[in-house]
Amino acid sequence: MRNEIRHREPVAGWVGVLALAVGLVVLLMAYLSLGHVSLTPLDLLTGELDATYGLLLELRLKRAAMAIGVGASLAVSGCAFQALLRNALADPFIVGVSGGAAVGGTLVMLPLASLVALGSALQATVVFAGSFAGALGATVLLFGMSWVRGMIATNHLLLMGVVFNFFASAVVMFMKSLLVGHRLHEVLFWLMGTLASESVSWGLVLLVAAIAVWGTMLLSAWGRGLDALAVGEEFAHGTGVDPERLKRRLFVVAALLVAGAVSIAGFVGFVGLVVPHMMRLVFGARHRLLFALCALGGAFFLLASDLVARLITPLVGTQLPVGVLTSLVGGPLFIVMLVRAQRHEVVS
Amino acid sequence: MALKSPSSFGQSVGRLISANPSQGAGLFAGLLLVLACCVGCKGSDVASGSGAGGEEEARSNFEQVPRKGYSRVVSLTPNMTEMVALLGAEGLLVGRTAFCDYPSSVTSVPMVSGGVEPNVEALLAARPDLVVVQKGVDAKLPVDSLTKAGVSVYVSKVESAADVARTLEELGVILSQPKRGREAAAEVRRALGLGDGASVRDGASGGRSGDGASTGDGASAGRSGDGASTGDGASGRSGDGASVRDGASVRDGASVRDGGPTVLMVHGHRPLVAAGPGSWGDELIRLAGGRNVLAGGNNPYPTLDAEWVLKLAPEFIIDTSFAEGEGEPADFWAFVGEGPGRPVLRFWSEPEVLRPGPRVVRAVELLRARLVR
Amino acid sequence: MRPVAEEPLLLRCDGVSFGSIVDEVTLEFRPGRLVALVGPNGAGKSTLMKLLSGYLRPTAGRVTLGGRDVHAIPGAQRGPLLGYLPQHVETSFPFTVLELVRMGALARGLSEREASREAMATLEEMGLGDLARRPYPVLSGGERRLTLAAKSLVQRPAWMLLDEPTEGMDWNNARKLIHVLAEAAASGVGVVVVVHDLNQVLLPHAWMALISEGRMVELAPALQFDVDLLSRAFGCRFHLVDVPAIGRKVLVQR
Repeated sequence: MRNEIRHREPVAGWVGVLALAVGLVVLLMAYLSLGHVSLTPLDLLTGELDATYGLLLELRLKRAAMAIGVGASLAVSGCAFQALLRNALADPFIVGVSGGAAVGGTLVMLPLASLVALGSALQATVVFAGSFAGALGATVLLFGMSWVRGMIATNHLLLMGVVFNFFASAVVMFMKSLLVGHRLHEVLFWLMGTLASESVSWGLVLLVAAIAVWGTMLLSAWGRGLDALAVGEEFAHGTGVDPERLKRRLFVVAALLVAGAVSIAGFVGFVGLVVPHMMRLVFGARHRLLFALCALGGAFFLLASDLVARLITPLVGTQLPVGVLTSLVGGPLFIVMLVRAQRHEVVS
Repeated sequence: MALKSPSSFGQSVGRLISANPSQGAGLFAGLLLVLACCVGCKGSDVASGSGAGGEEEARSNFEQVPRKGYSRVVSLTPNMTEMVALLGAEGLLVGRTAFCDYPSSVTSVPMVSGGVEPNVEALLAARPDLVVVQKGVDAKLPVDSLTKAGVSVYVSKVESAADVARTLEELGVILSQPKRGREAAAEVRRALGLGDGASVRDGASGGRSGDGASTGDGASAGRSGDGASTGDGASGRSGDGASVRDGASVRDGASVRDGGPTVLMVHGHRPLVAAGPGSWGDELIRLAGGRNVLAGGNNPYPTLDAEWVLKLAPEFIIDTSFAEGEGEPADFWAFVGEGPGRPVLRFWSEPEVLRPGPRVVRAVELLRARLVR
Repeated sequence: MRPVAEEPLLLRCDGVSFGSIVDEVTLEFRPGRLVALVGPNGAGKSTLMKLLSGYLRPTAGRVTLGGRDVHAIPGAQRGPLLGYLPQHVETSFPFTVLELVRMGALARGLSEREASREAMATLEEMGLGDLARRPYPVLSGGERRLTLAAKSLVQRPAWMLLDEPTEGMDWNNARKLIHVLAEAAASGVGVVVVVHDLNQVLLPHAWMALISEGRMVELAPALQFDVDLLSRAFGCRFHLVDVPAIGRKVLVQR
C-alpha cells in the first residue's frame, strides 16, 4: 500500500518575490514609525518632536539598512552553504568562517583598548576590518584543508568547519579573559548578535548591503548549476556542470557574505538556517529564484525581529540583543519545520 | 539526508545543536537572559543606596568582627584598599587586587586577586589575619572556612556615600584607628551635606583599643535624626553652607530637590550601558544636585538604545568612557544632535573616582563642575 | 535524431589505471553501439564509468573523447557531449521530478521554457506524466531510477554513460528502458551501461565488455560472448540457452 503523501504545490517564485518585496516595504514603514517614540507624519506638523524627528528617523533608517543587509546576507549564505554541503541543516556559521571572524574581531579589540583616542566610527571600522580579515583567513585555511586530490571534499569541509569553530571559541574565550571591564562587555555584546548602529558608519552599512546584493545576483546567475550540484556532485558532472569549479565559487561568495554580516553585527543566529528552509518549503528547491527569496525573507525576518526587540526594550528595561530574539523565535520555528518534514518524508 | 525514524528526530535536533553551537548557545543564552530580565523586572530588591532610614538587614558584619590587633590585612576591592590607606593602615596590607592603584604606594603590595574572583590560594599564602571586602565580591569567598581558620572577614555594603562614611568609621575601629575613622567619616558627611546617619556603636566585644573615645560620646545628638555631626568640632549641618565647596545647590543626602539638571550617565558605548537607580553613578548624580533621568526604572545598569536616549532627553550626558581632550567620540553621539535644547555632552573618565570609596567627595565636586552649562 | 559526425567521436581508454581498482584498461567505444559493462561486484565497473565520464582522473593512462582528455572538457561543452548517470543519487532537497528531468534538457542548452516542454514530453512518453510534480525524495527506488533515466534521455548527449540505470526497476520497465537505449544507439548515440542482469542486454546489436578485478577481460558482441569467460569471471557455471518460443537466447546458471 502506497503512502499517500500530500505535498504542496510550490507557489510560483515570482509571486513570492513580489509579495516579500511589498511586505518588506510595509514592514520598513512600520519599523521607522514604531519604537520608544511613535512617529507619524503628523508629528512633523506639531513641531514638538521636530528636532528629534529627523534624528530618530536617521537612526532608525541606518539600523533598518543594517538589518536588511545582514538578514539578506545570512539567509543567502545559509542557502548557499546548504547547497554546497548538500545538507539542509547547514547554516552560515557551520563552516568555520564565522569562527575566524570572531577571532579576528576580538584580536583587534585587544590593542584597541589602549587606543581610546580613535573616534568611535573609526574604531568600529577597525573591528570590522579585523573581523573580515579573520573570516577570509579562515576561508583560505579551511579551503586548503579540505583540498583533496584537486577536489573539495565536502564532508571534510563540514568536519573541519565544526572543529575550527570550537577552536575559535576557545581562542576567543582566552582573549576575553585578557580583556577587562568595558571592552569585555563590548565583545560579549558583539558575539551575541546586535544591530546597535550608533557607532557604525553609513559606509560600513552600505558596504554590507552591497555585498548582499552582489552575492545574491551572482548566486542566482549560477542557479542552474547549483540545482544540479544540490542533487549530487556526480549527477551534476553528468549533467554538464563542473562541480569543483562551482563549489569553489560558491564557497568564496558565501564566505564573503558571512564575513560582512558577522563583522558588522556579530552572531545573529537562526536567520541563515530557518529562512532558506521556509523558502524551499513554500517555493520549491530551484535556486534561480531561491536566493532572491532568501534575501528578501532574511531581511524581513531580521527587520521584524529587531522591531520586536526595540519594542520590548521599555518593557524589559534594557536592550535585548537581536540575536537573542532570532534564536527564541527561530528555534521553535525550526523544530516545527523539522517535525513537519519528518511527517512528509518516506524512509528511503 | 532523509530522516529515517522517529528516534532520529532527536538525533537531528542533537545534530542541529552540536553542529551549530553558536546557535544552541544563543538559544540558551536567550532563555537565560529573558528569565533574568523577568526576575529583574520584579525589581523589588534594588538597594536604595541611602544609609539613613531603617534597614532590616545590616549593611555590614561590623558587629561580628573580633576586636583585636590586626597586622596582616588583605583587601579584595579597590575601594576598601583606598579606605585602609586613608586610615593610615597601609603598612598592614599584604594583599590587594589588580585594580587597587590608589594611592600609588599600594602598587607594591602583592596581588591576590584579578578583580572579581579572588585567588584563594594566593590569599591564604599571604597569611592574613583580616580580609576586608565589599558586599558582592564576598560571594566568591569561602568566608566560613576563613573564619574557622582564624581569619577575620569584614564585609560591608558600600553603595552610597553614607555607606562610605559608615565603612570608614567601622574600619577605623577594626584597624585600631577609631579617631581617624571618625574624622574621615565626618569629613565625608560634612562635605556632602549628609545627615549623621546611624552612628557606629561599639557593641561587639567590650573594651576598645585606641584612644578610648567612643564614637558615641560628645555627640549627645549623635543619634540619627537631628543632624548634629559626630564628635569633633565640625561646623554642623548642611544648612549653613560652610561645608559646600562650589556654590551649587546644597541638599541633604536623602531628599531630591526640584530644579536640579537632568542627567544621564553612560558607562559604555557598545553596549550602551547607563547608570540606573541603585548604581553608584546614580548616587553621585544625586549628591551633585542633579536628577537621574533613569530614576523611574528598576535596573541599576540598563542597556539603552539610541532612541531611548533621545526620548529621555537629558540636559546633560556624562560619558564616563572617555576623558576630556582625548579625542572624544563626537561621531558616536552625533545622533543626539547639537545646538540649544540638545543635551550637553561631558566626558569624564577617571574611573578611580567612580569607585564607591573615600574619594567620593572629589567625585561629587568634579561632577558638579560638569553640570554647569 | 542526431546526425553522425564525419569523424566518429571515439571514447577511448588507453592503459587507464586508478589506484588498484582499475588496472591498465585499454578499451575503445564506438558511437552507434550499446556496450554493457558487466562483471562481478567490486570489479571496478563503477570506477571505470567515473573515469569514462571524466569525473575521476586516472592515475595512469588517458581517457579521451574524440582525442580530447575527458577530464579537461568544461561542463558547458560536456553537457551535449557526455551524459553520465551515477549509481547513487541521493538528495533531500525537494526537487520535483519535472525539475530534475529539466536539468537534463538545460544541459543541452535549451531555454527554460523549451526545457520544461521537452522534459514533460519525455515524461509522457515514458508514461511518467503523473509523477511530474512529486518531490524526488518521496519516490521509491524504481521511480527514482526512472526519473533519472528520463533526465538522461532528454539530455540527448552524443554519449550516454549509465551506471545501473535499471536498478530497482520492475522487469517491464527495465526491459523498456534498455529497449529505448538500444534504439538510441541505433540512431547513432554511443551508449555504455552497467547492468547486473545480463539477460537484459542479450540483444542483437549489443556488445558486452567483461571487467574482472579491475582488468578488461573481453569486448565482444553480446550474443557471441564466450560463456566460459563469463563463468570464470563470475565464479559459476553459465549456459547460453536458445528459447525458440520467444526467439531469443537466455543466459542461465547452474
